[in-house]
Amino acid sequence: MSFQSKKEHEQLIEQQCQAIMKSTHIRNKIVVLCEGDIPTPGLRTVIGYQQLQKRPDADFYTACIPSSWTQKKPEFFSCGGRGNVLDTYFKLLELHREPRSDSYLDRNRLFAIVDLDLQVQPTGKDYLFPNTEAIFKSLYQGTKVNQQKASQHRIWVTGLIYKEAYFLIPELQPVFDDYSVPLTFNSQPLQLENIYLALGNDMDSDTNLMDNLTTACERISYCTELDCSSINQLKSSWLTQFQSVTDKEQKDELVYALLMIKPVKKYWEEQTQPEPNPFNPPLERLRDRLTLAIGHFYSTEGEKSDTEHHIPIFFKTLHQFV
Amino acid sequence: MHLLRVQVPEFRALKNVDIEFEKDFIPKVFPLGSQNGGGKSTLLQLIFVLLHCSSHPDRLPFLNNLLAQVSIPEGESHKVLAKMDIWDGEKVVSMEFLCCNDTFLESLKSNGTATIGDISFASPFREKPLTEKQSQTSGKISQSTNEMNNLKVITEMTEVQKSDIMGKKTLLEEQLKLLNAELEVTKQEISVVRSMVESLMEFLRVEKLHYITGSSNAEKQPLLCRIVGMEVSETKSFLSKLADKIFLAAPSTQVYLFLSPDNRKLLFKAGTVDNYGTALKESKTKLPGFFTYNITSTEVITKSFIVARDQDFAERVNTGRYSGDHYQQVLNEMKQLLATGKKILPQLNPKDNTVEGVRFTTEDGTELYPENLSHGELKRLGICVWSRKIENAIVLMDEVENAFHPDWQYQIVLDLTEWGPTNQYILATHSYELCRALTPAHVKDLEPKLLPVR
Repeated sequence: MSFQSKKEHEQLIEQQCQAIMKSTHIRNKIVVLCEGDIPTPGLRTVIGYQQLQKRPDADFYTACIPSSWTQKKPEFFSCGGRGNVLDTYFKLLELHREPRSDSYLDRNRLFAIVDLDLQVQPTGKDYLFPNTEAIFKSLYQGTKVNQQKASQHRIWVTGLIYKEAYFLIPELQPVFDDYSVPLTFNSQPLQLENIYLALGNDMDSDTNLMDNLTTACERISYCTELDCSSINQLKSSWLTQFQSVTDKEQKDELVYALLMIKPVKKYWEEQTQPEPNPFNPPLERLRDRLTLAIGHFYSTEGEKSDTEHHIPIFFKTLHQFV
Repeated sequence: MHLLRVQVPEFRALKNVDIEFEKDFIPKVFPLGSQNGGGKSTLLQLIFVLLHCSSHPDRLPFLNNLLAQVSIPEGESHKVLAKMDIWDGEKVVSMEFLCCNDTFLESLKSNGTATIGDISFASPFREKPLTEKQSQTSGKISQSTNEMNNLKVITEMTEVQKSDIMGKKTLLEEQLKLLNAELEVTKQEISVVRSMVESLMEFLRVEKLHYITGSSNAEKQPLLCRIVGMEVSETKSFLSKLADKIFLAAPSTQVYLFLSPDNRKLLFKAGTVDNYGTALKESKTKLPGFFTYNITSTEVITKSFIVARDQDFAERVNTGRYSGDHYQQVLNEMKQLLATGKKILPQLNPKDNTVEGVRFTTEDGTELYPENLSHGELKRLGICVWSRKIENAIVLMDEVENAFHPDWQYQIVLDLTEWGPTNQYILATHSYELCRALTPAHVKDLEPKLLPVR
């Protein structure tokens, strides 16, 4: 917002709201606002899609919709950054206080999902929860979604630090192993465990994490073995625990703790590489295809009644509103 | 099978087409876009006809209808119709389809790769009129011989009658002599032509060029196929294998370039659209890889019930007990595809219990009229039944999204990969929603490519 005046920002939000309201696709459907570049109007053609530099962020969530949910699927709208998503959400609610004939939106089926991030984002506007961290505390218990409370939430935050952290959970190792293009991390065949170790080792050089250590430590308080007295202690205790525990469940808890607090985007974007080969695709294109495969993983998980993955449970909750 | 790359220098609206369909892309579904009239349907039909018809003599008329629209530019010796790279599961097979004229043969001869006398692409067409002539002459000989055998001189005849018969006999003998001489010449001509055809084929064989067809209207520019690194016998065998692995699905109201010009006109003539449907139906009996999705796709569904019933019965015969659940499986699969609360069942003829169609009911058995089902639902059912039978094939689909709600336009990509996971799908489409189920790199376009400044 720094480069925008308040008036320009309000205009942008208003435009975005109008675009959503007038979208015929949303009639009788759930609408979910999410982060990501706002699509350029008029590009909804096959060639327009082909010319996109990368797959729209909103399409990742669409790819995660359980495969049996074939009709009245939720419609995702990328609304810019986290603040913009929340502003758009509240503006839409405001515009729909009274029923209106110039909108296809059903305010009772309006949702938003934003990244948890390390900085706390206020929600304001008399929302049930004052900020993103409060939503997180209500919505998640340890590594799991608190399903008792899930249906109360219209604004969801990711249970991991960013959407991209969901691209690196331990259960995805077989997806990477079976991928049609061999992947590497630090010039070695991609093993998620090596990424976790790199993330752990880099904790003390992450200023964002250092500046928000208190928030981070509250999130991972379920890992009682971790020492949160300083960033160095956190790093050292996490590495010690991670390298010593053999129980898979405990190890996964540590990974989830790490993915709740340690920014992962650069590891995803820069360090997940295909093997050096002139025939391998450009990185952007490869990442697009990987996220499609990851979306398929979550979509398939959503078919399991006992799944505990955050994203499938998000959809399970949404499905109650069809 | 996987089509890796297709190149079409020029064919109708297609110009400088060069599209890659990457082998390692998952899912193997590639939307193909262009503006209206950009040539998407033409490209799919061209690929389909070349690969499905080239190795089957009874399918060559379809290929010839398509080739009637090709002409070699003045002064040129050949025209490359299409180049394709196919992954056959083990290696890349690079194939080229080209229309040629006799100048092409001359240019090959002058390269010195083979020494041969007079050969021409017209040779194979000389045999037919000659064999017809031979047949006619033989007929005449037989007729004259019969006539002559009937001319008998008997003692009761007058001298005049006897002389008349003898005169006729002499005439017939002369005629027969001429006819036999003519037959002999024709036979020799046929023999020469056959030898020329053999020489032509041998020449092409040495050049590793497989002669596919030369229709009467494309006599001087037959279609040849060359596969890099393959002898002609291997090329023939590969084309034959490939023909079973290529499929085309498209709307029944599409103009099909492989139909005869007269049949194509039926679509636009008032009162003859039904005849176009009949022509399409007839073509489908000869083109097993061709499927049209429309309301009549219930035929495919009906057939699937019959097949399942027969499979269950066969198991009964083989095992001695009713253990087969094929019919039940089909019922369950169809139910999953229909909107909640609807069921599909076979429609039995009350007289003899033969399956004559399908009927739809609610969960509690109340009959539903076909109008209670959307066109989209029927189409989706039809595609499901059709595509489930196809494995490891290249499936070309035109306007698959028509009649689908945006959710189903997106869903069809997921459906196809579930129903026929080993297939490659190339979908000519105008649907943005369909593309969203894939990555931008999956989407291919037919727009003219910008060339670097020289």
